[in-house]
Amino acid sequence: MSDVEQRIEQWRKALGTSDAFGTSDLDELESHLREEMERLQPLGLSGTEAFLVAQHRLGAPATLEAEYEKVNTDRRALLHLSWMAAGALVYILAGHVAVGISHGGMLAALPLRVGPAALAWIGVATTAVAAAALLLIVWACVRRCSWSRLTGRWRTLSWPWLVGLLGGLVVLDCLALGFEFLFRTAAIRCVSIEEYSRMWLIWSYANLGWIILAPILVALLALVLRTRADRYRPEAQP
Amino acid sequence: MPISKDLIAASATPLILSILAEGDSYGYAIIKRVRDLSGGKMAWTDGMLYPVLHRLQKQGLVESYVDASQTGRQRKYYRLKKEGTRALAEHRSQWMVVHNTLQQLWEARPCLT
Repeated sequence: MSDVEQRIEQWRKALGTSDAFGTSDLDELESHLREEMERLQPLGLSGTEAFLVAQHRLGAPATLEAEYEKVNTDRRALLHLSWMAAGALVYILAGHVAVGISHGGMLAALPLRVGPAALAWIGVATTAVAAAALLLIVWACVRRCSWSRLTGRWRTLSWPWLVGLLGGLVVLDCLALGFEFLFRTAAIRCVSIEEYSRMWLIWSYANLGWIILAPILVALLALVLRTRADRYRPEAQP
Repeated sequence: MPISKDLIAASATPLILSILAEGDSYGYAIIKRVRDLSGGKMAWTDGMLYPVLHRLQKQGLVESYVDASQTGRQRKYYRLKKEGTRALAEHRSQWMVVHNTLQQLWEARPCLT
């Protein structure tokens, strides 16, 4: 990719980190930028010079963002609502998966022939290990990304993809609920109902801790990412 | 003689509607036409045109469609709707009132400087 193309891509990415711009807005602005560059280059400007002039004529990213924000209020509100729904669905999914994993851990520990309290704690420990592993995987995936880069990537997701994501999360929620019921049924069949009641009491308290701890951990992860140096953010004004 | 930002902002809608009344057009061509007609005195910040166009589209005055240019690049074209033609007539009558008023005042005192 040539230097000019890289600059155009960086400029577009920098604008794309704001949810004020939709994909069609960015396409339209990029098309304008390229047409202006095509007009300037025959006048004797190099590709880079033409890019800089055309970019300047289009306006400062902050000014453009402020104007587009005024126009795209409905789109932004719908986008925020969609991401809130996605967050709620992920939270519900995490709850079902946590119960499923704790029951799975407990079922796997049945051959150890320990008491119901120990089985319950094994289930809780399995969930904690799985949650820690998940957090580590997420961290490994996103640690090289800055907050703006991450959010920019998701913000520019087109509507069909966003609807697909929400639909996929609903399907995953249903599947996780199904697996949770399966594991619960299996656990009740493997131990007596009294033992299961005792285990359920411990799980309930552990689950309460999970309900409180999970959003705190996610918020901490987001905070760490957000406060990190924004070194991977593409420059808006090269 | 640069035109003030307020005047540029106020004249943006009637200018865009008037250009679209001549035929379908796209952002870059609209800006070029304004620049040519004003002899470069109306210096729009290019990117500011699009939010205005999108606002006019929301108001139902213009509609857009995507078509390929001669170079093969996809362009978003804007077309004036019936409501846009009516709005343009309204803008025109308002601007003519302003124009006539100023003209009468300035004809009475032609030498201000």
